[in-house]
Amino acid sequence: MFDLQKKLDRSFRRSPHDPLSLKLAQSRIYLLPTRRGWAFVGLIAVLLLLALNYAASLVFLLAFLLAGYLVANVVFGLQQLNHLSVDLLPVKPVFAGEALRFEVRLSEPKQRLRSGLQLTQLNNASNLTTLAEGGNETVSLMQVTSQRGLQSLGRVSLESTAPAGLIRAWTYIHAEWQGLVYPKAESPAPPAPFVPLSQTEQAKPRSRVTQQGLPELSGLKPYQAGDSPKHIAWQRLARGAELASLAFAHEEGQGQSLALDYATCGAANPEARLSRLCAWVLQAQASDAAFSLQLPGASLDKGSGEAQVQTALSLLAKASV
Amino acid sequence: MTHADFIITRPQRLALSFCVALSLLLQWDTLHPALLLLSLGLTAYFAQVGSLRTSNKSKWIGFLFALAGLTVTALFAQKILSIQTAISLLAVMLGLKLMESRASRDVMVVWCTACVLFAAFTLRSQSLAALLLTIGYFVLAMVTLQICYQVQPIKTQLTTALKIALMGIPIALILFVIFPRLSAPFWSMNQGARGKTGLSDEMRPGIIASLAQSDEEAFRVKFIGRQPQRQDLYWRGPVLSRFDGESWQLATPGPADVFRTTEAIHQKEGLDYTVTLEPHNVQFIPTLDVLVASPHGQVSLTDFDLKTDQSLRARKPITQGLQYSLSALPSAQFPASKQGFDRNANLGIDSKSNPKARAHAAKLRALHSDDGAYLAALYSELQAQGFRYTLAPPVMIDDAVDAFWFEHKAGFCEHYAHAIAFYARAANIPARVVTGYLGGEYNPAGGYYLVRAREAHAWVEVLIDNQWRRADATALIAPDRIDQGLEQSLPESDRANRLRDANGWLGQLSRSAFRQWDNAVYAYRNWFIGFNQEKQQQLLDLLKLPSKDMGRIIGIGLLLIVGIIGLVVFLSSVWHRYQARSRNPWHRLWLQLCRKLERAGVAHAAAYSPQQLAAIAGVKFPQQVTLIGSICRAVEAAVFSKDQQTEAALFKLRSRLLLARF
Repeated sequence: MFDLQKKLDRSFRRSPHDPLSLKLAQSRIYLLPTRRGWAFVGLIAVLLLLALNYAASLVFLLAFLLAGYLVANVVFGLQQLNHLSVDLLPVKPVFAGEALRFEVRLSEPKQRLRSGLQLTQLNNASNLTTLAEGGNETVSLMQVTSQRGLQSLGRVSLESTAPAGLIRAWTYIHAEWQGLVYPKAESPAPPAPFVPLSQTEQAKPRSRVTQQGLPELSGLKPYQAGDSPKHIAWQRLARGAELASLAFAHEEGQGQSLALDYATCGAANPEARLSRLCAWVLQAQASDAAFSLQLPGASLDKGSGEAQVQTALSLLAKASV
Repeated sequence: MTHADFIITRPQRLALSFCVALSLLLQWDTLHPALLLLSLGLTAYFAQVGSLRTSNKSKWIGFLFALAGLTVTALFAQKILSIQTAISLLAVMLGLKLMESRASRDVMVVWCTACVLFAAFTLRSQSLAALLLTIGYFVLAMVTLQICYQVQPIKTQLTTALKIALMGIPIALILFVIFPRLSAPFWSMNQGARGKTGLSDEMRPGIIASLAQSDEEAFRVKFIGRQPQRQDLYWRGPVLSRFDGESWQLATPGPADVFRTTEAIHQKEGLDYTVTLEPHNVQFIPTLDVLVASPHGQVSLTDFDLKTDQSLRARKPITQGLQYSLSALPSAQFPASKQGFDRNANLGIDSKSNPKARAHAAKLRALHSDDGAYLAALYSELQAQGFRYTLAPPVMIDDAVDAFWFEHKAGFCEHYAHAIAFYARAANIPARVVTGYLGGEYNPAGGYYLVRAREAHAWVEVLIDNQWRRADATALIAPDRIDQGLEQSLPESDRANRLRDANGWLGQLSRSAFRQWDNAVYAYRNWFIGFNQEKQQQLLDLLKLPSKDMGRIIGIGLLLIVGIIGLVVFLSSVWHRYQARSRNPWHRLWLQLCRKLERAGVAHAAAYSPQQLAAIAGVKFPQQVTLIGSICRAVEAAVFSKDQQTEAALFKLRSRLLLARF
């Protein structure tokens, strides 16, 4: 009994066992009448009753022609899906609150027109798609996200009810097919913190450094909240000028460096902290600054560039806090 | 495609309307013209504009149409439980449904009803043209079904439909052959009479001559084994022994009508034949004189009565094609039945009409006391006085025998039969008029005779020495009528100028083409329309398939399998639905509310949060704002904040929701 349950679970694809790229075989295609199809069966039954009662051959003929059409629809439905190549494409990550787009690439190997193809999951359905002979198309399902992390679509079905909506041919696809959801960036977010000089040294930044081991001073900039007190131009302030900070060469353009730390980022709850860190990573990306990231149980060395940003975002997405 | 966002496009409306209009038009002779026009009008409106459901007045228009339709149906129905009534009701239903057709489900209902209406048409009309029409309608219906489902170019739709239909044809044919047939109907409905030219149960001069112009087919007959002589082909129809001075009618039902073979006929080799009868809406069954019981006993005659006058009658008017096999011993005379025979039933004429003929008969009778000699004298008068055989005799209404015998001396078979029977009865010789058919056109291609309405004939039977003897004066006046058929027996001027009766190569060609065509029609009627339990058995025997019982077992088995599969699918869908439903009763309550609101026109209600939905629905349904609000709040509290809500509160809200109307 247990084995049967397992087998059933497997054939109805209750768990994700499918590969990301597969070819549909007859054994996994299910065919049943739709509600419309049952109405059609009802019509045949009424006609048969009429024909039997009146021994009317023409009504028999009409009923059997309809029955033949229905049976041929089953074959036709099977032909819509059989041998189709299905590729579950990698899912582009999104920020929480945006919709993940799960895309499936369907390719037609048999030089046969396939029509009415639709990807469905519960009440969610893609547009109807027609595949030309030997052609390929991409169908997609959107899934709204609300939380960060890995999100899978679960079991989807690829179906076709062409050409008359009488028979539904479908197959279940359930694979390890997940989309990554980054935390929602905090907005508006405070500016990202600068790295204290000493830390910058330890981290061996790519910025120009003077012989004394200090970063090259390039001028002054207006004070911002979060600027280190060490970098405030106290002398200017004493002269009665407004509050200003020392600006170092690496802070302009590419030269800046940020140390993003979960522990010190200052927001109230864990998810809010991650949101803030996410916003800072995006700020760093916008100014193309190098940054490092400290998370409980994970850390990322200082670096910059697209790859660094992606890694950081996915660390944020998967962080267990 | 959900219920809400389905829109019937113009091509879909056109296709559906075409289907419906065709179904309605084919019922032109059954539906009352007013009803037909009304439903066609609604169909045209639907095709042009769409459903009426959008307008405010639709309820009133629907109500008026339903009222009008039902009134017309009730007023003009001959019987309440008849096919006509059912068809009228179907037409009313179709019109009403079209008016409110908006969703995919409505389209399916309309489509199915149109199909049933078409099937009702094929119940009545079973010609070869109806077969072609059925196939055409099938393709049309399938294309319509597809158009109403998916958007594709019409050419693709057509090729797809044809391809699938062709795939289905072998299945259809196999089903047609093996599907078990019933020998008796479950119930029978009055199908009503349709006007058809043919013999009736009454004869007066002029009736049969009017049939002589009719090409309508009466029946086809195939002889098995021994072939008949041309002069044997007297097809016995209604036997008329009651005479009221003007017309001959069926005798009132005599006593003890039993099916019994004529006892005194020598048992020599008979003629076995099978008749395929066209529906003629009367009860007589044409048989070849003289009927003996079928030696093979294949056809059960339980539905027929053999009357003491040797005519075979069905218990009900023949409204559908019928096939039966019988045996005959061709003979011009047979003994009168011994049981319950009333000589006086075949005697007697009224006392007033035809005074001249009456006097003439008395004069002749005085000369010839012997019955045979008396009749011979009549015959020789017919021959001597130059009587003519013509399709267009002068009109003789009062004292028809006098006018015929003494004045015009020209007539068609019924004039002769009428006169001879009158003279015989005037001389106290029992006599009756037999109507039926004479001859038939032999079709060498199919080896059968085609008998048409124009082969209708009337002759007389007189009782001499307790033997009924055929007295056919036509044989005397126009021997060609018996030997060669009607056309040859008439003078040139009377012949209908038909191409296929012309001589020369064109006539030959068209005759043979016609015969081939008629042979196809015969095969169609014989094997397709007349495909019954017996034919099925014959065919299964021919194909060396298992016997009838096996066929039935297979059929019942198939039905059982289909039924079981259907049941399993149904139960599993119920189970699936039960499984899929939410475990949380509050969530279920929420879904119920969403379903109800969606039905009332709030699209995608389930997509909103409870608070949003309460706000949206509250604006739309001000009367229900407290109910919606309290459900939404309670659901939110129960599902999201894990507050304990009581069962009683749930029950109360659920019952309030159940009663609420949006």
